[in-house]
Amino acid sequence: MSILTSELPKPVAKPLNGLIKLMNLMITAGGVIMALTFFMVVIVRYGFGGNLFAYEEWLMTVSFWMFFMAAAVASARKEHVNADVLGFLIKNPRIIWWRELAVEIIEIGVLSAVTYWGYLMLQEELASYPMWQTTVALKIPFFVPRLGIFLGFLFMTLFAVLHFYLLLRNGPKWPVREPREIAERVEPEDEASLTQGAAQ
Amino acid sequence: MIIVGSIAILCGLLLLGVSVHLAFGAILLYLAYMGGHDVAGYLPTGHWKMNSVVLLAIPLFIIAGGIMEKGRIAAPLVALAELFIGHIKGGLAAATVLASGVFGSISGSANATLTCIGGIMMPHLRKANYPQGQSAALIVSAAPLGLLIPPSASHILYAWVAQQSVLRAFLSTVIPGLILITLLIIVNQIMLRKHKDIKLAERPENFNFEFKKRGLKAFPALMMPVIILGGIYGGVMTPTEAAGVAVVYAIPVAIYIYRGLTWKTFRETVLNSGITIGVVMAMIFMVLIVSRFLIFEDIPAIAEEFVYSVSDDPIMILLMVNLVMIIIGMLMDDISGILLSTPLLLPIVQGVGMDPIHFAAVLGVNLGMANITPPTAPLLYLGSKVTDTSVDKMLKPTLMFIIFAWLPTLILTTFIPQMALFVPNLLLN
Repeated sequence: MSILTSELPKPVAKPLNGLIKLMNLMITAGGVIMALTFFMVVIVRYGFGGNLFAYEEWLMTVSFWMFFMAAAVASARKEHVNADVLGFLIKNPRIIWWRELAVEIIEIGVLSAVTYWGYLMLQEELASYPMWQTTVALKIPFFVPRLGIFLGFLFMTLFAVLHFYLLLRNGPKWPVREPREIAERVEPEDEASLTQGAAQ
Repeated sequence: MIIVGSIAILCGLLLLGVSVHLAFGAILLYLAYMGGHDVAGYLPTGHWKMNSVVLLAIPLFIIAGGIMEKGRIAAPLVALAELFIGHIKGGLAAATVLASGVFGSISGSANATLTCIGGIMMPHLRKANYPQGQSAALIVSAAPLGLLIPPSASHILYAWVAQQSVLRAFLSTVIPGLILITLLIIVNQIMLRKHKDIKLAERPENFNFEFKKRGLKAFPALMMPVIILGGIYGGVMTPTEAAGVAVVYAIPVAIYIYRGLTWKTFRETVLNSGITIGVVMAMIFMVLIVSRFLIFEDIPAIAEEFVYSVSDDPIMILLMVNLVMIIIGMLMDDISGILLSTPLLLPIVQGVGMDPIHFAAVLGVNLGMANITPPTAPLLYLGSKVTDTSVDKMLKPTLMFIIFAWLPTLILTTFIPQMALFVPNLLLN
């Protein structure tokens, strides 16, 4: 469970946790597949004098899904890179909160626009079926990686909206722009120890 | 108008704290409004431009770096460096710089270098009475060596954007990296001259035995850059294949040799590296679309015209370009910095006769320096946490390292092309 879902009501948190778990699985599998594929390419070339036929085509499709699911999880964990100069200069929690609110609103606005552009992209792909664009050798429709891109932005928007909701609900006490260790703080094992600690 | 608006939006949003990829997304909104582009073409452009196997080297290097970071490979490297110079005054600090250079070449990441080398060396330095602020500043200042000592993921990106040889780009920062290492050590030695109470490590009685012992332990880690560079240089592998082989090599090394990873933590490491990849690739995706549409708007030519209207003196132009790169590097990470700087600034510097491989080195040094330059300085703040030292204590010595080590390296790299071109020409021509 992430710090995002731990703060949300159970009916919302449960499916979100399932979704994040699935995304985590896709990210891990994508990373392993990517490395093993290139390793195998070298082995097959020098060990067997052959080559993996059109591996780039399916690997790029897998990679796009991995990249954008990972970008979405990074949004849930608030790990996207930001310069945050003001964050270091401002010490007043109320001003920090207002600044964070402004950032969330801008991010939701931009993400909504990008997600809409993603929808237009998919719509265009579907409209051109059966003459839609495919890869050269394996005929993988471009719709497949582009669906991953669209879903990535859709989930980024969803997580940004949830962060915005929590920011409004919790007020200035909500930990804003905290690094990964905070996001990972509420792991299942930790939760158990936290519960025990509270009981004591 | 479009260029001024784009810069204003980018700077304003980045200073406010908007994520880098979304600050670029906001520029796209602005371009759609001002330039009247068809927004349905934005994301397919990103897909087309990013649909390249060469780019997969970046995520693979991130995974390899993540595995090596968690695999406790820093300790044997530090022990080896200490063996040679740990017994002289300032030697432990010099060992820190050398270990950062070697670890940086293995992990290719300034953050990983700072976390691993800083985490190990800071307690050693503190125990030996080295001044805390200065030591922490040295660790931070040496961390970007990972961007300079090959192989470096950011150079792959540069080579891809600028359509240059990856290996030449890698090799362009070897001499600047070595000069920076030397200058950091010298500046630190000078700053240490007033400190009389530094404890020195004892020189081992049997040097050869210790060297064999520590060398053997560090050998598997040191093989990583050899495999990558040897594989590419020997024409055996492409950079992407070398990165894939590096990941597969790093797994047994981290799990069975250095025992820093288990299969369970390996899964977590791949996941965390994967999320870092998501962050980086989302930025690349957005910056690629923005740069494509900025080119549509003829922004590089407008920027070139603007620069030449200020001065047509090559020295002035190179100084201006450096200034712009430092500002870009202070506002964003090295990946976005390269993606934005390359299409905008490469035509300008080529106009004054700079070789694109020379520019790779200038860009690398600039972005490395910007990473530690206040007020943004992401590495400085991370370094403060890793070394448990306040930023206030680190600020003055960091500025000393910037002024007397980083800046001279940058000036030399900018104005003496052979600094960047000698090694690539020697090895590859």
